[in-house]
Amino acid sequence: MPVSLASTSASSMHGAVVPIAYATASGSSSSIIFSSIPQVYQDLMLVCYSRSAQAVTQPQFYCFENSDFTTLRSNTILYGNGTSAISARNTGSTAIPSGWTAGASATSGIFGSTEVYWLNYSNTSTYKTSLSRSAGDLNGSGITSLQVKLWPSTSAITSILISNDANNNWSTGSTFALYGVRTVNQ
Amino acid sequence: MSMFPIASQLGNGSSSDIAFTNIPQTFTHLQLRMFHRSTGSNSGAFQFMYFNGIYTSPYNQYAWHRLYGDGSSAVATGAASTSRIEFSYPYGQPYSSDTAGIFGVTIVDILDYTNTNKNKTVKILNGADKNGSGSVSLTSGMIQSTTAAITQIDILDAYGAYAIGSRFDLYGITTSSTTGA
Repeated sequence: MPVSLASTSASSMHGAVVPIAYATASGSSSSIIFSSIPQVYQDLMLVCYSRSAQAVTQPQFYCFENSDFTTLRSNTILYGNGTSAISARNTGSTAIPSGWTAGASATSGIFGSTEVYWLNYSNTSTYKTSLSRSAGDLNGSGITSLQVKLWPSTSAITSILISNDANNNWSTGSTFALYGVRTVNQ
Repeated sequence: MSMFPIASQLGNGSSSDIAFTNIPQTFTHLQLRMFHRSTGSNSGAFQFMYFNGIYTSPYNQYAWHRLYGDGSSAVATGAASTSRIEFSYPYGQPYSSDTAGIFGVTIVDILDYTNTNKNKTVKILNGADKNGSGSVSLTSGMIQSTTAAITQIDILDAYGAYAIGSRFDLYGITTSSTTGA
C-alpha cells in the first residue's frame, strides 16, 4: 500500500527517547567512544549497525562502561545459530561481549545489528546491568542473541567504549547511535 | 514512533505489588521498563503480570511461553489457562542472598493496548547476571479471556517485596496517523 508523506511534518512533542550522539566509522578506528554522557536521563539505549575488519565472519561486540578495562565482568547468554539454541556464561573477565557483529569474511554489505540497554545508568548505589540483543544473518549461517551483562560498579556511566574482537577496526559504514530515555519529570 | 513517560513507581522494600492504574487510552502501544530486585529469600524470585485487575476465579485467563538461558541450558517452557503471566523465572530477578547492588532488568512491550477486538499479547525481555548465576529470557504472555482495552497493569513479586532501588517506568508510544511510524 503506498503511503504519501506529503502532508507530514515534524511533531512539536518532545518524546522520551532523546538522541544523544551518533558516530559513523571511517574504517581506521577500532573503538568508538561516547564520552561525557549527560546524567539527566533514566536509561541509555545504544543502537549499532556494525561490521569489523577482522577476517572472520562474526566477531564479538564489546562495550566497556567508563572505558573500564580492569573490573571483572560477567554475563549470561542465550543464542541461536540456526541449528541449536544455546546458553552460556562468562565470568571473571575484564572483557565480556554484548553480542556479535559481522566480520570481514562475511559477504560484503552484511552488517550486524546490536542494541544495548542500560537501565538506571546514572545511579550511584547499584551495579550496572545491561541487556543486549544482537542479530546477524549471513545467508546460511549467523547468530542471534539475547544477553545480560553485569558491570559490578556503582559508578554512574559517563562514557561507553565500543570495540570488537582483538580491537580490529570498525568498517566504513558502521553506525553507532546513543539515546537517552527520559522518565517522568526528566 | 515517539515514546512518552506516563508514570513511575519505586520499590519500597515492603510492597510486592506495583500497580499502574487509569492508564491513558491515548497512545498506540505501551512499554514498561523495570529495574528490580526482590527482598524474598527464594532464589527463583520470579514475577507475575496481570491486567485490569483480572486475577480472579477460575484463575485460568492467561497463557505464556518462554525461552530462557541460565548459563548452561537453553530451555523453552510455558503454561496455558493459568492465573497470571509468569516471567523472570528462573533467576531473572536477584533476591536477598544475592550480592547487594545487583538488580534485574526487564523491558515489556504491550502493543495495541486500547484495541477492544484483540486479545493482548505482550513481549517481555528479562535478564539478571549475578556473576556465576542468573538468566536471560524472552517471554510471550497473553490474556485469553477478554479483548478489553488495558487500563491497569499489575506487577507482582512472587516471593517477596520489591527492594528499595527497584523502579518501574511506564511509557506510551504514539504512531503517525499518516505513516504508522
